[in-house]
Amino acid sequence: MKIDRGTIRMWGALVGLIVLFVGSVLVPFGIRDARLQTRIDAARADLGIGETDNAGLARLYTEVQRLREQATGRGQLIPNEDEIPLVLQDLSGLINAPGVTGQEIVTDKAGYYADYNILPVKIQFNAPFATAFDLVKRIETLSRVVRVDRLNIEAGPDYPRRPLVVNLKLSAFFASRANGGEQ
Amino acid sequence: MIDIDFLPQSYHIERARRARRHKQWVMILLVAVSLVAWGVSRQRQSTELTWRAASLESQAYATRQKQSEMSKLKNERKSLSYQIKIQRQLDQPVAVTQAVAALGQLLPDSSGLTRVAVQTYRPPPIPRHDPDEMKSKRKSRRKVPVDPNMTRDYIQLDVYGIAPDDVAVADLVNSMSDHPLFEKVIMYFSRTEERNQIVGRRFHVGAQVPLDRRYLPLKQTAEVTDED
Repeated sequence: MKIDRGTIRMWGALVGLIVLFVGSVLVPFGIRDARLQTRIDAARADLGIGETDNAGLARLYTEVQRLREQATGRGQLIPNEDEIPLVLQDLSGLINAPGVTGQEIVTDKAGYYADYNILPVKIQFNAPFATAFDLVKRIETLSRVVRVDRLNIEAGPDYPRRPLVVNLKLSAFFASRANGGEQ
Repeated sequence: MIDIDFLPQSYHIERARRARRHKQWVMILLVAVSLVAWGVSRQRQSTELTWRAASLESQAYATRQKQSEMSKLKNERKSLSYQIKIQRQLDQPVAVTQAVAALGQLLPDSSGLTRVAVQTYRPPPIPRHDPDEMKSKRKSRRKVPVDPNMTRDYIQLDVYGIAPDDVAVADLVNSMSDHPLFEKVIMYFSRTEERNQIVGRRFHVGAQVPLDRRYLPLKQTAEVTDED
């Protein structure tokens, strides 16, 4: 059988067309679609994570808002371990008031407990009663929780020529990661 | 009937060739049109996939944002719950200065104080145990004796002073006993002391302010009672 040149040209054109189609359309689109499919799968996996409905988020926000009000309404917050120097700074600032002499602050070894930790602080100063009373009151209402464990106000034998001697033993409370305070 | 073909053989061959070529080009055209249609459909499919990916990605981004917000809120909730729990544990219904101020109001004008000692007794904090210790404790199941310190919850107030006579000391003890804040008011001693040729009574009175209850201002209580 004799195949003429026209038939050969036709088959050549046909093969050329198909190759051109595969190379310029099918292969690039195939690669692009595979990439898109990967993105779609990743997005679908992200969509399936945990509870993310708007109602749940709104409920949680309301609850946190209520807790915030409750916590700040009580006035005093438990500082984290790294905020303890600020507590000491506050105490030191308070007792360096006019009319107060012989100030001394001594800290003891901190005690670590299940729910919170305690740094014992001993303070001594000399002051008239009104000043001493005001200072203790301000210590009790610091923004970070401090408890007065012991207060001793004593008049010396030469009182009132010399001011009262005030001794305070305080508990400065703080939280650490182990307590659940630091997030 | 005799059919005589006057056309030459070459003419027939050429006509057949032209017809075949025509058919071939029509076929090529059809294939080309089909391929173009396929290509267009493929592109449309790919565009749809792009839209779908973009839409899902934006949804996933929003979900991730919500998840991150939720995680932040959960952490804050945990931290605030901890704060409130500890605040409740450490909450002291009466401050030391409030107890001293109440004492100051009850002290007779004729008496003076030489020393005020206040000691707060609160239930001790729960000790921290490491998990291994807890396991061994659970295994041994020994009964731990109740620590009496665990129930202590009061402010101990010790007042030392000088009064002109025993009547003034008795007045102080009585008024402290009648005061709703103080309990277990005890006079430890009242003895004669002479200083700078002035004779007086040196005394020591002790009292407790219980902390296991809530104190309400008298005015507020009255308002509540009126409403009832």
